[in-house]
Amino acid sequence: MNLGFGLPALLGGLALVGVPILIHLLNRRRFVIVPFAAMRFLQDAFAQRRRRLRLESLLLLLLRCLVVVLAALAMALPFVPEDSPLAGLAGGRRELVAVVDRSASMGRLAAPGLTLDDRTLGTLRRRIGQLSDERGDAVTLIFLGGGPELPAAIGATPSMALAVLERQLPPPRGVADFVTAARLIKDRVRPLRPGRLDVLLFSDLQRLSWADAGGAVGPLLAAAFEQGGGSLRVIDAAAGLPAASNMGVLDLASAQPLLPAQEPLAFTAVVRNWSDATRTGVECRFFLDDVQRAVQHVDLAPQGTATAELRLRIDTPGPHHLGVALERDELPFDDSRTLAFEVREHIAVLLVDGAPGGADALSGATGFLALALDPEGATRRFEPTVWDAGRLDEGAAQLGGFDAIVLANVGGLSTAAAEALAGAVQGGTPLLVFTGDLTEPAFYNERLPQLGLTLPAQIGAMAGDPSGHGGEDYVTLALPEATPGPLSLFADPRLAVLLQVPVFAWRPLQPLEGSRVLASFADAAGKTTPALVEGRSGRGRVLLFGTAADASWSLLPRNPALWVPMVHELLASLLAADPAETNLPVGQSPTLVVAGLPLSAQLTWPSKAVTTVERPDIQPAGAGRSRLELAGLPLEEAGAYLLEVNTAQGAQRIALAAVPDAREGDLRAISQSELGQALSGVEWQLGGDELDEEQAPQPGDGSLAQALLWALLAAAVLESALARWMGVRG
Amino acid sequence: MADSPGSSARPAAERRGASGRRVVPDPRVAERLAHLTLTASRAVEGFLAGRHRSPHRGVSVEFVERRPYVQGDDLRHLDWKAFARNDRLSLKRYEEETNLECTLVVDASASMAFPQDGRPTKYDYAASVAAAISQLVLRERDGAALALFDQVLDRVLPASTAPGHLEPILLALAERAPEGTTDLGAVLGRLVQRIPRPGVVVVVSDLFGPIEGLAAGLGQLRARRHDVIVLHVLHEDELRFPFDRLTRFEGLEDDTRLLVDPLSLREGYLASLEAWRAEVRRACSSAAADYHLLDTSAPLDVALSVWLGARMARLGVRA
Repeated sequence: MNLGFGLPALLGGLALVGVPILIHLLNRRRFVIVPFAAMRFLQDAFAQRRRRLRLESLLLLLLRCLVVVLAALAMALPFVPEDSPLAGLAGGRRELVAVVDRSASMGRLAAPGLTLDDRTLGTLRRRIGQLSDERGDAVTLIFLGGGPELPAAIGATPSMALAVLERQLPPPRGVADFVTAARLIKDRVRPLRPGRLDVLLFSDLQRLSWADAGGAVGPLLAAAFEQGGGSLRVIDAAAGLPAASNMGVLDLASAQPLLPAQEPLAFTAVVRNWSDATRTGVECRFFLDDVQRAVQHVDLAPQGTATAELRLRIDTPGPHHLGVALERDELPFDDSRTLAFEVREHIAVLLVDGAPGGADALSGATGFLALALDPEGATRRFEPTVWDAGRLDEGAAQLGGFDAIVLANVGGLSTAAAEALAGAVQGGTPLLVFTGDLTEPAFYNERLPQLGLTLPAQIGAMAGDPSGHGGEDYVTLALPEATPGPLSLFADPRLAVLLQVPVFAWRPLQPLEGSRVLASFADAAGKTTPALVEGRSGRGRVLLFGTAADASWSLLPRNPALWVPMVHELLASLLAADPAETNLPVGQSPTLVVAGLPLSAQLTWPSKAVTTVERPDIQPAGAGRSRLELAGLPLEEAGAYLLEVNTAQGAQRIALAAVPDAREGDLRAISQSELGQALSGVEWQLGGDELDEEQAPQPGDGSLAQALLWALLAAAVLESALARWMGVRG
Repeated sequence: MADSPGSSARPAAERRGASGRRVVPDPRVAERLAHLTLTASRAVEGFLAGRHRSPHRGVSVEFVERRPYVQGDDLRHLDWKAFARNDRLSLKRYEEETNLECTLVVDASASMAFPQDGRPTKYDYAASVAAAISQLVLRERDGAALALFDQVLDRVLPASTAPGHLEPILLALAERAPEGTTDLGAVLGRLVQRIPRPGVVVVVSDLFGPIEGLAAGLGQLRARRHDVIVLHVLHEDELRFPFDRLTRFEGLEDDTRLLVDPLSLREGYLASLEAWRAEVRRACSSAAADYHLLDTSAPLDVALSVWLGARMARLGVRA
């Protein structure tokens, strides 16, 4: 019969059936004694009614015991499935918890114009439509992926839940976090809804989502069901669909960190074939600012990837969007992807010279740097400006106007200059520090951190011999095994020889926790010491080079084949924008650092709708910049956005993009046995018939409590009537 | 404090027996009964002139009627005045008033000790009834006798017309504690042997015994031309059975016990009791005995006056 109980512990109340029996027995011991003369008449009456009295007494006792049994059973909240012979008696209220997978994969088309999300929500509407406000039925909606987690109140009436489902809901996006849903049921729904919970879990059973869940879902739901009872029915939203044959854009990125105007730029798009069939001649169309610029074709092996590359030149500096689109398939969301980026016209670099030279352009600590950044006749990508260290005190307010700051053999700074520098770096201005003979380790290691700027390594005393020019006692640059970072250019074996430039003097660097060594100095014996260390101070990136930028300590500056690209790469690496700042996951709100004080902002959506934000939420970010937080503007649609920020100094235009989680393109489903492992610890059923509109409604397990309470009432009334008829009291 | 069941006056004199019981002739009872007489319904013999018919005709009798003279009648009874008035010969018929001898037969068996919760018992009530009737009889210069019984005649006081005879009667009633079983039939049979002349026999009892014995005893008294009055004393609890708690009833004259819920048996008990009373009434009617139920909850003076008044009216006796 599959009779279950929501509160089985209360079945212990059945033991109370002994109470009426005990009372009955005790009552037989509590009597008064009356010496009586007319015994014969009493005996006559007793003899006539003896048998009947016994039967009536026994019947009364049975009725009283039945009342106790019915009460205990009713309080234990019994329930039976709909196929039980007792199902007809189960007229109790239903407590439905609907967990709806609204991740991006649910955007898969089940039929033209009908996604899995549409089908699921339609099924849910029909299911909720079977419930009744009057009966006290309750619905809790939990959305995973697209939309708010709890779109309605916990335990809402069926009418309220239907009203939510009738609203315009955000499209499916993001990933489904079933562990969060299970925890939400256990920690928030169960405390408010103590009765039996019928949990319907709608999902396309995407392997990726369930793999992320591990085995945590089952124990959480089991804990939720432990008190009050519950049932879990998993409904395969993709039931009946053929094997998926989805392709999607996995990634779209620029090949170089810095995107200057009027220079060749390269972008790569990675396309993934999520199916088990070979796909050839897949068309990839590239769009720059909504204008198609190129079409390429790629071939994809089963479950394989392919790369399509776009090379172009963008003459107009400013915000731009690059898009790549594939032919539409059953899962549209990953058939296109957008990249937002900034094309720079000129990059203003401040070179702070700690040992200014004379008339010779190459004298001083920054001469070779300035030459490398702005060689005459070359494209002026960089605009270097040279200050001496004393100028920092006066120009502290101007630091925000530079895209990068380079310190070359700067011994120390005044407190005001150091604080200004720290503020600029904290606010996001990258910093490149070259050491030298004037470098004061104590200032950089101890004083500067106190003022808010911590370099990625401790600077040691000078090593080597600057006068060893021409000798064999020198070191050269060496790159680590895995060569990420700005000097990866020189990892090419054909260019590695360029690194064999002697460095005669250097300052040993002791990297701090969280920093990264990008290059080392290696002596003839192969012993290395960190040479180039990268770190962060606030929002700004910092590179620390352990030797001088002039030719006093090494021959690096005198080797333009190495020096120029190295300096460019170092600065390009520092200046590269973090794509994650402007390319956000769908549904996330942007937080940006802008110059000046924003007064208002306008956001243009992919649909070209415009949202204006007056008096946006801002925080100071140092060096005349502000952090702009648009918490109330989640980027719900995938695609290109344009943010215009109006400040007192003028308007700034920032390209933004909302990108989906490409992993959701993998539509491979979890097997039933794997699902069972994921849900171990809780009993569950696999459904799917509910998706068919023709199917009869399945109300789920019904409670017998109401029927038992009616029976209890009838038994109590019968007991009272019988007792009265018998003339029995108590 | 009431001195006898059903009475509201404090007695002028009282008798307390060895049992501690007080039996008093209630003056209020006596006052109420002052105008009433215990009239014998049939002609009885008496050795004192009283207000009772005598079957014997002679002097000192009450003139009753005239009838025409028939040859052979005794001329001593000729009504000469009537002859002088209308020249007709007629005879006077007289009834001779004789003394009443009243024997009070009081049940002193254990069943009369009900209830035992401090309230006046049936025996207290019966003793008061006997005392009142004794006082009434002696006031009328009739003879009063007392017989106390259980399964045998336990105590017998012969009849006497002396006014001071009331005291030993009261003492005998007070001294006796109700005990023993009941055998009314045997008792009445023996009693018949001890009463020399027909008189009034008043049986004051709850009659809890075999009906056959009662009928036989009443029949024997009837055969000896006694005027039998049966005063059936029952306690209000026996008549109405008001018990409502689980009760163990224990017999007063035997070892029977019964643990029952009284409410469930009340209807059957009352039916059985009523059926038995109907048999008792039939038995009394068959023996031409005057039957009257005395409910101990009724004031004694009221109960007796009602009964005596009804009896007098039935017999056509003027107060």
